[in-house]
Amino acid sequence: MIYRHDKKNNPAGKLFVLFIAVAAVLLFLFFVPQSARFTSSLVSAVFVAFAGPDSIPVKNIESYKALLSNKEDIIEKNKSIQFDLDEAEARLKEVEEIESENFALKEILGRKISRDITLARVIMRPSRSPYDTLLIDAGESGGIKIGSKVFANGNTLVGTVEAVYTNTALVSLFSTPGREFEARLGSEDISITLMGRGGGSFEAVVPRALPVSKGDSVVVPSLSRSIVGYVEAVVSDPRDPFAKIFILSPISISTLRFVEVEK
Amino acid sequence: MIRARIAADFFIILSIFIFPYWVPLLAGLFFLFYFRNFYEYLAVAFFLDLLYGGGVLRVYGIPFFLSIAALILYISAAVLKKRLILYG
Repeated sequence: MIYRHDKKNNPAGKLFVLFIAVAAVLLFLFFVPQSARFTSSLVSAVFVAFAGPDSIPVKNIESYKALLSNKEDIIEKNKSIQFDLDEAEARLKEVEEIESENFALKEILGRKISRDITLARVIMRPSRSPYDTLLIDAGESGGIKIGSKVFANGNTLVGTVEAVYTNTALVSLFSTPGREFEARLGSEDISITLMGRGGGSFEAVVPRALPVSKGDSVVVPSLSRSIVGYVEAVVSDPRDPFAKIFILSPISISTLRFVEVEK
Repeated sequence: MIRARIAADFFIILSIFIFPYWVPLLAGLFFLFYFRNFYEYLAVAFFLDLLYGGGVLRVYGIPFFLSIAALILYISAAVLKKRLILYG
């Protein structure tokens, strides 16, 4: 018979104590939100200090990367970026023209909108996070508030601010799995309820008779145009009176570098 | 053993800052079985919960999802280790 000494010191009791201790901490943080806010602000500050874009370790790694990379590769990459930039600039001019026309029309109709925006750098993206969140480098000191809308590339609405710390803020994306919100579909402004599927994608269930096609825009109902995404696929079954539509954000969330936050 | 544990702790802390959330959690799961009472696993999950969820967000309606999952894994690992002859 094998005699096990470790069984003498009651490991079940130890586990029970550990369980109670962890549960007590989590319950305390859950019922006292201020303490959760304080602790997460501390955690966020530590993360930014060690892994933020301006932190010393990240800067050192980037300089070593530059030293090790091939000169020809860099030239090739530079050319490709220059090409993309030229294309984007041309598109931007087009968009600016439409935007100014839009503003002019709204002014004529007496519906002037002024948006107070702060530009923020993305420190952490959803590919790293289980919560589909962004950590941005603008916080209380930059006038950010809980609930502020967050945009990318001008008028693509990506999420809302959920927690604000001194110099950083946590943004919950609309595409967070399970998150539901109201939106309007296509040129006929059909009301739909979107449900997040993670990583910038959404789904909605609409009556099959509705004229929905690939490429239709989905916007949030407000005076200023806030695009959420475009219809990517429509899945329907002749036996089912409803169709499922899949919507994709025009922004690649996993490569997002900057966002604009409404104050 | 203490040196291995310090190295494991160092790796896990570093991976929080460098890699996605699942890397420190998977590495921690391995260390749960390798070391006795690897409490660090719970601390790591708690840190990730606060960092990514701010203590206010939920996954499938569950607050502190990673911490709760880590606690369940920790207890399961402890029970499993008690029953495995490898740990006799």
